[in-house]
Amino acid sequence: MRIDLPTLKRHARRVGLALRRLKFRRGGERSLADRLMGLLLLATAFMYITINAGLWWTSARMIDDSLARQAERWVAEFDDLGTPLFVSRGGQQLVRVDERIKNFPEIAYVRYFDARGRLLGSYGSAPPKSIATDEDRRAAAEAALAEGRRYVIERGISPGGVARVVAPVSVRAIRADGLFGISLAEVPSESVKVVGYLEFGLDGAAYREAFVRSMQLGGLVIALVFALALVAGRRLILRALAPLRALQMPLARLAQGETDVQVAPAGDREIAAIGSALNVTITAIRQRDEELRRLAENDPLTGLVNRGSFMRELENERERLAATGGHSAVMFFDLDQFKYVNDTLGHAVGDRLLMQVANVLRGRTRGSDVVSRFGGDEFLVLARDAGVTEASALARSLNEIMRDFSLVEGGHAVTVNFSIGITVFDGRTSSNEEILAQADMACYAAKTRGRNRFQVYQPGEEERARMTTDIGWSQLVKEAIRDDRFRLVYQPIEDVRPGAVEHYEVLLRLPTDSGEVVMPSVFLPVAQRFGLLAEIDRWVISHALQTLAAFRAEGRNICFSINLSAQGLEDAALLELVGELLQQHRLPPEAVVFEITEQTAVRYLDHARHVLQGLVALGCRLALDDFGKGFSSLSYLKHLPVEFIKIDGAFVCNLGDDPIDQAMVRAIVQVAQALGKRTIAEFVQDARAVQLLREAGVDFVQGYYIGRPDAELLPLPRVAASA
Amino acid sequence: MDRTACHGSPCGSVCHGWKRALVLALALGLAACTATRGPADRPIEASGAGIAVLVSGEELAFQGVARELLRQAGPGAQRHNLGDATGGQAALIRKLNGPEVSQVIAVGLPAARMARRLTGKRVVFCQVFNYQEAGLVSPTMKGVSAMPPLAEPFRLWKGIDPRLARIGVITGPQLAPLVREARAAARAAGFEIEHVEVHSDKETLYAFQRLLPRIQGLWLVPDNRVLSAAVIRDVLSLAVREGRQVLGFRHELLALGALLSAESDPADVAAQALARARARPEGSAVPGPALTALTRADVRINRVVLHSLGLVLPAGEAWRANAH
Repeated sequence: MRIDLPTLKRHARRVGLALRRLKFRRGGERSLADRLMGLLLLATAFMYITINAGLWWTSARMIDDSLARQAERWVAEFDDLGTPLFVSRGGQQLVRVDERIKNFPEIAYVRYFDARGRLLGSYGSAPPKSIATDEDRRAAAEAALAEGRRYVIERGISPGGVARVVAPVSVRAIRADGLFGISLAEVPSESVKVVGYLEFGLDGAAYREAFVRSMQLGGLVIALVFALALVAGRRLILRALAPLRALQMPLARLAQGETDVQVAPAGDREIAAIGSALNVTITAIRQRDEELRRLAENDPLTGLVNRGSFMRELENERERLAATGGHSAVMFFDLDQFKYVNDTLGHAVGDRLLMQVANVLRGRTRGSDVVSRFGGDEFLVLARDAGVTEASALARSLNEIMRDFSLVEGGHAVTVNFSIGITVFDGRTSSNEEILAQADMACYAAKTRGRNRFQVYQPGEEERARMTTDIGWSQLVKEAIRDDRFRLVYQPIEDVRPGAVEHYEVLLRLPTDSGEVVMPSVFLPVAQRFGLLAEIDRWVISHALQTLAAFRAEGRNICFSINLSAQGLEDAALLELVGELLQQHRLPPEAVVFEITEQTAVRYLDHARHVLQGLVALGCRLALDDFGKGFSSLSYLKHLPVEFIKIDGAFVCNLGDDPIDQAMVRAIVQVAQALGKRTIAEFVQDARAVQLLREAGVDFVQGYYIGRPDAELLPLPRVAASA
Repeated sequence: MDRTACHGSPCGSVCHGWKRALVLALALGLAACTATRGPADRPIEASGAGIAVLVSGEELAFQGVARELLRQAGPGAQRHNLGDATGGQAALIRKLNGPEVSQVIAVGLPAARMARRLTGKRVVFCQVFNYQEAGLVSPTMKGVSAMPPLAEPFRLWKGIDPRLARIGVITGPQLAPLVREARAAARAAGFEIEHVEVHSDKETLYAFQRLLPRIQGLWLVPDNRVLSAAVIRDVLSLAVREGRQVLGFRHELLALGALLSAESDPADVAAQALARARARPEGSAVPGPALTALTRADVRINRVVLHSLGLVLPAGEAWRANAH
């Protein structure tokens, strides 16, 4: 029996549609629940198809086997019913085959033939057209007889799946004297003679139709059961995944940046472990965020708010005053002679002094006030809702405190005082810069008048002019950054030994409208005061790397040294900017050397170490500028990842005439060589200096004698090699 | 099953004096009768010289008759089994054609066929049902009926079922004499026979099915031409289902549902065969009719079928039943 393929195909199409309706997107996100449901659906569909196919096949076989067994019975019955045809003429009317088969639709037809193949009788429906001849039938019947079988069944001969059964009709006779030895236990010897044969068709169509109906009903029931199982399965899956799904919300919030989430404890051990680990991680992230926020907003040394935070607070205070009225005060604190302490007793002492000063300020200000370390030895205080009187009182008390203050280090007592500038502002003040400039002016006035005092801003013509100048310079710098009005010049750094690499230091100039070129010493202090150095650093790096890429593309093996400011080391985006530019311009990172001053490196060692290591990780190289300028412990050199040490110009400019300078240079070179670092001597003025520097073992020389800063970057004749 | 040994003619007894003479006279008178004599009355010839018994096979029916032949023939009678012939049938024929053998008694059809090839010998065959079809009868070859006489079985049958009025008889062709004998015996017993001639075992069953409405019983005639093992079973099975009584030709058929069975007595067969063999020859021919009848029948009754048919053994006679 054939399997009903159209029905199976219909079912398969339905399953395929169900699968396509599942939201499986290529790439992107997939729901675990949907994935599990998909697997469950696939498994269910597979089982459904397998079970149905198995049932179809088994049932088809059973029907075929049943028909085959029925054939045995029908052969005997038709043989008996057809006897009149073989025993008498006119026996057709005695044959009751029609009556017999009318209630058995599986009997398609019955025909009787005599031994010569003549048709004796035909009953039932017209037999299907058969390709078998009379001879074929006779041969089949005789074959069955010879093999001891009762009949021969041939399937598939006729279209429609009717199985044709051919059986010989034979008569037997016991041998002549066989009756004497007849035994019930044994079959006596008999002669067999075929007198004809009968043929009938077994048509399982009726069975098949009933079978198909049953299978369809059964399939429907099974599908219903499976559908219920799928529904139940989905609920079970969702229930089982509920603890996992419960993690979704906290993780989504965490991804949004919220760290105040908590994963609820789950009942399942595995999920509970995940939840617990997530909570620990969230806590660690929250703490790290707080730490980063603190680091981003606070000075790492003193814990006071940093410049950026203070400026934001100041901005908010101006807006508040503009909305509500009133006035507040900004107090600019400058430590008198801090530089002396730093230079004589060292940066560590200077740092401890700064921390103690910060504590003093923190202790004397209100909780609503904002205390900031503005940079170096400068502190700012935003006294909210304070006027001249209140601010003056605070300043006075702080002056008094500092007069009594002393720091004992190494047997020395160190005393410092404040010079304090006070400015009071309201909501009409135009900008933070104006406030800072006013406070700075006042502080300057206090210093001018003898230090250790405070001065309230009283704008006079000079002060106003200076303030205006400072503000003007800050505006110029901003405009230069914005409009790309800065200009870079490049001063060669020559290798004392013949080398293929051209090395240049990148220097900044500010051209004015009048055609003058303003040196950095003029605008950088203002830029530092107004917090613009980081922006200037970014501008210089961007343009310098662009220029470097262009010259390297021409085939010149050039290396640039770029200066970094202290504020640049605080710029969190600096590393990312350098990395992007190197990749964008396809520059070998070793072609870029970043210079930081020794003072900056030492003072901001914690901050600097992170950025410096980041730059080294990118592949860039580092140089320590102005080495030897101040008092420094050399121990930090072991930990700073610098490749070059630039000997301060003070030791080089009179090298030919000053043996002490010569000794200092030799000492620095020895230290550097011992640490595996190379040396660069700045401010080389003449050939004698070059010779002495070469003899001392200096690796590179820089100075007007070697080459002046120039924007064109023309290859210069080697001077050091020929000196 | 009841087994009843019956005699077909009056017995003589020897008495002193006039009684002895009377008996002798009676004996002499009876000698002219065509009725057979029981083997127990016939004096055993002293010698079986010249008599060769040729046996077809190992079947009990042949072996039993052969044993009786040898016993009744006396010393000197030869026995030859067809299958044991050393040197084949040709050697056996040469031997039987020898001067030592004057009469041959062939037991069974194969022996009878072989005996036909003998020359100058008188042959009596027995235990052959369809002798006509085999063409056995000739001047020098005659036979003894293989079937027991029907009178007694029919009488007993009627005695068991007094309502028995009509039975069916199905045979192949060329058995008219047998049918005539059966009709006569049936008439004497008090019922009629409806005879149907068929040509195959299939027809036999079909004919029986068609006879069923008109008969109460069937005499199953041992005509191998129209019988097969399957048909025998089917007929008996049908008879049982339809409540018809069957007189079978072998006791084994009782187990299949026959009510009675009648077999020949081997001693009777042997006696009749010897009588024919020793009869004064007419030249080289065997005197007498083509076939002589037997004198006794061994009848058995199936008690189970008897009771299932609602029949009872007649009172007043010594019926001994063997139940199946």
